[in-house]
Amino acid sequence: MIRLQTLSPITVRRNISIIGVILCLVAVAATGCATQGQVIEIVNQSNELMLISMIDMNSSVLPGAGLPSGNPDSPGIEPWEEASGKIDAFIATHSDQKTLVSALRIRQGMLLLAHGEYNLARAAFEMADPVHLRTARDTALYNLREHLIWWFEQDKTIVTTDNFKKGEIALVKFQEEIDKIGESPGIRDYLAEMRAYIALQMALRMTAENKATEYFEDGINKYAMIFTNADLNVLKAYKGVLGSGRHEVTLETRRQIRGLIVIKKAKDVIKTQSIKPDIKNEIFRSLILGQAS
Amino acid sequence: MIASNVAMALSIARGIIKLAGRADRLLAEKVGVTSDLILTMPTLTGGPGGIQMTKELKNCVEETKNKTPDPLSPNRWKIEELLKQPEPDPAQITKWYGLIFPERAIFPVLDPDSEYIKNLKNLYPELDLKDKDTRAAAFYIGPGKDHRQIGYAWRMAMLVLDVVAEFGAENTALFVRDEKIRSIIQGVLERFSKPDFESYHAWSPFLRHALSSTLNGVLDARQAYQGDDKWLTAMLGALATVREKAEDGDNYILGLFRGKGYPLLISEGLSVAALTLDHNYAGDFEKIVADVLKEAAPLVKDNTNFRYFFQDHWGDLLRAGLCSAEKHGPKMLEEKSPLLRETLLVIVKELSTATDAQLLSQEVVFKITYAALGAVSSNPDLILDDVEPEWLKKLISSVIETVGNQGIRKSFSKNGLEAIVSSAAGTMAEYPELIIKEPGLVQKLVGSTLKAVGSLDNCLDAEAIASAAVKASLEVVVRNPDLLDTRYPDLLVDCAKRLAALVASKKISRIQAADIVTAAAEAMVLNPVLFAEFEGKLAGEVVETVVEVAGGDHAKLIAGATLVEVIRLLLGTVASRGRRLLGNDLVTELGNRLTKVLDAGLTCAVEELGYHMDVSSLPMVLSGLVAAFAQGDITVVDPNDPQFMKLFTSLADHTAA
Repeated sequence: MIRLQTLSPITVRRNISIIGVILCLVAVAATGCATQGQVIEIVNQSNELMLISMIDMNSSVLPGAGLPSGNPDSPGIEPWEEASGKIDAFIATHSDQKTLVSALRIRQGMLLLAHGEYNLARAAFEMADPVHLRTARDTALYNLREHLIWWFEQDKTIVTTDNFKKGEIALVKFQEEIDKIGESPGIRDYLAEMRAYIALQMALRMTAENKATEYFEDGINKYAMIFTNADLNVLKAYKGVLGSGRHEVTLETRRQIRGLIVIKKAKDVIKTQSIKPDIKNEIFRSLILGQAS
Repeated sequence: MIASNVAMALSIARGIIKLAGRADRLLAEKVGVTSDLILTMPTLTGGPGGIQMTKELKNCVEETKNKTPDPLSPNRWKIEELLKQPEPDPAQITKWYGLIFPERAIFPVLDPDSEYIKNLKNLYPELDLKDKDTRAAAFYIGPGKDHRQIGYAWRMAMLVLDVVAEFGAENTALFVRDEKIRSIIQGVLERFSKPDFESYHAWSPFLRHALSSTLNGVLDARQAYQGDDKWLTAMLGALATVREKAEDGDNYILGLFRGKGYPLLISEGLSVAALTLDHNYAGDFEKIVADVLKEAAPLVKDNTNFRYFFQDHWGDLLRAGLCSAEKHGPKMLEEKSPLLRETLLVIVKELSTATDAQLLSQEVVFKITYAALGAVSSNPDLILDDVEPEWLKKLISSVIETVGNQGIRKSFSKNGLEAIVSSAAGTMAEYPELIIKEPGLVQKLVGSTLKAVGSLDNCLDAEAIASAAVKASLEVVVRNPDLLDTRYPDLLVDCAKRLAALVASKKISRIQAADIVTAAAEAMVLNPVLFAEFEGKLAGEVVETVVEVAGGDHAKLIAGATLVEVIRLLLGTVASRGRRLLGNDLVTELGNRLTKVLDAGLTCAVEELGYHMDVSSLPMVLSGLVAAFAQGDITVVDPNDPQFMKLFTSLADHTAA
């Protein structure tokens, strides 16, 4: 005979109350994603402010970008100050999360650098703990912090002898980092491009022909090395249009388009300085000097 | 029932809250670390370059040099000085250029980011750059490679595992009914869930933690399984005490568990103790183990080499202690300052300062410790009267020097060397009086012998000879410890060296060499004074002479075991009649005389085989001929001489009978 088991009303009530307790606590737990939300806000705000720093330079580029120009509740406080303050406040309450704190310090450093706050940027970088920097991007930026601050801050027109010395050191240090981060093409391309500009700017401002040529060759020849054969073929075939129907910018298209700007700058340097550099890469030589091998 | 269900519900809820909180922190870190970052490129300036400005300034200076009034006055000389330099200061050039040619000194700004957006718009008109996300994506720079081995997905999984482990630790009773098993599982889980798993960035520390928590958890729950085995209880109790007392106790204990000697201690040492020792002494053993491990902890902390050594060998040291207690009785364990404790402490300290201690194998460490404990047992004053006993230092250093000698290590296989040294240490353990008399015996006898035969290319040959030489000499020395004060060890070393050379030249085999050196070891005891004379070369000369004669014998009568026997008997004859054979001559003359007698004897033997003798009689007959020669009973050594023939036949008949 099969006997059906039934639950007594007391058992049912008891189980319901247990489940109720659990559900209530689960509900409480589910709302406990406050930290993640704060970090998302910090990340989004800092990225937006980086874009603002570009727009400030040339507001015609992104008409109607619609980005905030300041906090209406806190008049007189710049948006970057507010964003940087948020990072400080967050870190003050989460100082035990060393990895997160160090990553945010690097972000804060770059934000301040973009807004011309060099001393604050230096302080932010120094508060990052290199032991807890986990990604190639953050580590490279931290390692190059002094050179980044120097390059963002320095006058690109009146270049002193001291700045040439600093520039030479920066070229070496940048290359060391670039060589280490080949597996992280995003940050590698950024640093390689910046290095190329440092070298080209030094070549432009140098008064001795041999040294100007040396800076130029170092900058362009090393920069050309980050380009793949596919990139170079795209540059070679460039006739004013790179592609069509694209709806997103890939890492490769960014590298190619930004490469064209570097090449344009290189051509200007050669034109005004009348130097004859030895450019190793055939495509770059052809695009800059107009010579085929 | 209701209470337990509510407790479980609360436990689950706590777990969920904890999981949510820690997941939030982990995900926040993920966002902060791996989110894209928009990076800007600083602006540049264009305009005239340094070389161009220098040229134009030079032209200006040249063109205006005779003009009146001077347009460059009062700065002409400064500009001229600047332009004379091979590399004029670029900042100065720009400054003067701006003053003299203000209309040309225009340095337009180049903003790479603006240029980039312009190009994007031109080249990809389809891109909607008004869209915030598209615009931002054009500048995003990813985090790149994460240096950590464990990614966020794994860390999230580990977080869940951690919370589950903690939940399991709190609610073990729900899943496991057996009380003993439950307490073990609970012990493991509690430790397993202690740190936050998601904080691990690499596998190695995580796995180390897993192992550590398992072992330590087992230790925590030892009451559950140790049962009636008092010795195992004592061992685990000592480890638990050390873990509490030692700095960084968990890791220290983990290291001890990982050591190679630990399994042998448990499987052999403790099981032997449980069977043969009175369990009342287990408490004394526990104190000794705890003391030794506690004393070792600071030595281990600052010395990486010793740490690894100690981890591997603490089990061997304690195993030797248990074996010693078994052999020498409870006096090793009892008293206020037990001999076992004192001796082990001195050994540990001595080993911690030895540079090559890590070269000692498990077996050697065990046997040498066992031997030292034996010596102490037979003479407690050895350890009690001296704070840092020199004898013990000498005993350990002699073993380490032997094993660590580069020449020796190259010439022998690891196993071969270990077998020889541990065999010698084993003999010393059986006869502690050897250690008392000569604690450096291993170096003196074993080390020298190994070096002497180390020139052989074939390590098997070298090991066979060395092994036999060491074994034989130790057997002799055990019976006659006073020989250690004589040149006996050197004599045997010389003999082993000559045998090695003979093996190398293929005149004898390694088996023969091993047998010969054993025979020589025995023979030399018969007259150590005589053999010690002539720079200790007498025995070696006899051996070489016989081998040469055997090699020149076309009939090959002296071969194999016969060769060994001939040498053994002749060495005996030399021991008893050597002075007569030599007279006042050099040792080489003995070789010539023996050669002559043996050659003649072999010629006769070829004729007499089957008539008066067989090959088995040959060693005795040849030895008899040499004895007769020494006595002066042979005046002419010639196989055709009737008197020689008569003597030979007589000896052969006598031997055959």
